[in-house]
Amino acid sequence: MMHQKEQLLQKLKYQNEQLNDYAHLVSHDLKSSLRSLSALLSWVKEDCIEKIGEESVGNLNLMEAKIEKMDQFLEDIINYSEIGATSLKITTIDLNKKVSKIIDSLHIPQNIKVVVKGNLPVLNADARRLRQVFQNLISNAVNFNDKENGLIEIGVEEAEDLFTFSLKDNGQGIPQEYHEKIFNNFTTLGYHEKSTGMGLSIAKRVLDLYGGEIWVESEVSKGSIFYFTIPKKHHQ
Amino acid sequence: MRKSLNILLVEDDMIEIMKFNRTISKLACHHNIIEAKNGEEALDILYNNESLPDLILLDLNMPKINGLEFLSIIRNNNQLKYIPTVILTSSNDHKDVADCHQLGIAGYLVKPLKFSDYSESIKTVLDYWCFNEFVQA
Repeated sequence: MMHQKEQLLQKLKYQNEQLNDYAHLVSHDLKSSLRSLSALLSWVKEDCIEKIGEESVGNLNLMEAKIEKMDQFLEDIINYSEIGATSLKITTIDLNKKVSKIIDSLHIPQNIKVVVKGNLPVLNADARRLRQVFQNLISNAVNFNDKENGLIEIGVEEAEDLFTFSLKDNGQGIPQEYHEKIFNNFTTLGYHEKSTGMGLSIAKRVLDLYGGEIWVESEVSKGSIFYFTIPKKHHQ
Repeated sequence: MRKSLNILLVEDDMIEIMKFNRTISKLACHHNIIEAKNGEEALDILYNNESLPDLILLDLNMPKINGLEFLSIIRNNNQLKYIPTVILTSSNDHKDVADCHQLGIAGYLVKPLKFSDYSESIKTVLDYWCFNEFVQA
């Protein structure tokens, strides 16, 4: 009985790896085709912009936007399939520096402020993976903020065996029925040109690796607080 | 002094070659381009030509001898190992980046999606190499 279970687990693990490899490979191939399409499209546009009407130019622009979105999709699939497939590179990270670097790298509109409250800890973790968590949460909070003066606050609380991070925004908020669903693949609640619905599932998958958790508390139209935990001693 | 360059472009994709040629046709500096469709063809060109290129632009994903294999062959060849090689690829796979740097490269460029961004990065790379002194073979 035990033996059978183990065999089944092995088989599942193998199939999972295969699936990840497959997603990775296909996404790369599709990405290079998209790159070709994008170049050809921009040449057609360049060559014809004076000969075709405004409506056609508009359609070509829409095509360009679609290609960009699809490229982002593929990038996210590649990112998602890579998590867990490659081993974690553990380094010592000062989160104060790391997070302010992430904030600087994002295109944050003038009317939105991102502040770090208090002192963030120094962690031993994989820098790339950790960046994905913070980056995805912050850019979600920025992209879906509908207030005149957006405010995003990052904080942390330390317990004996784990850190609980929080990311509070004053954005649109998320209805109760979606509080779990949003962490599933390709779930997006609003329309945003850059949003593919993969951000939170990537964050969740990274935190799974560390034995951490992620959840949300939210009130519609007032804002949301995303919490996530990172154990001080993880299993890796 | 700005020089025109002899460039070996190792790339199998027709549209990628068109993109490259369209980009350099608009540059002020005229460069001489030799095209190879894969690593094998590129090696033939390097072994049989009296003058070596100043710069190699190398795609990684190619049939027959792929980019990494090609790179490892020229890095282990005493005549060819000084040719600066810049990777031009669609993959930002961390293993690829690490492997290439391990073997020795002069740059690693992930091709941007938009042609205008692509053009800009190629132009920047070539502008830089225009001002370099090379080990003459």
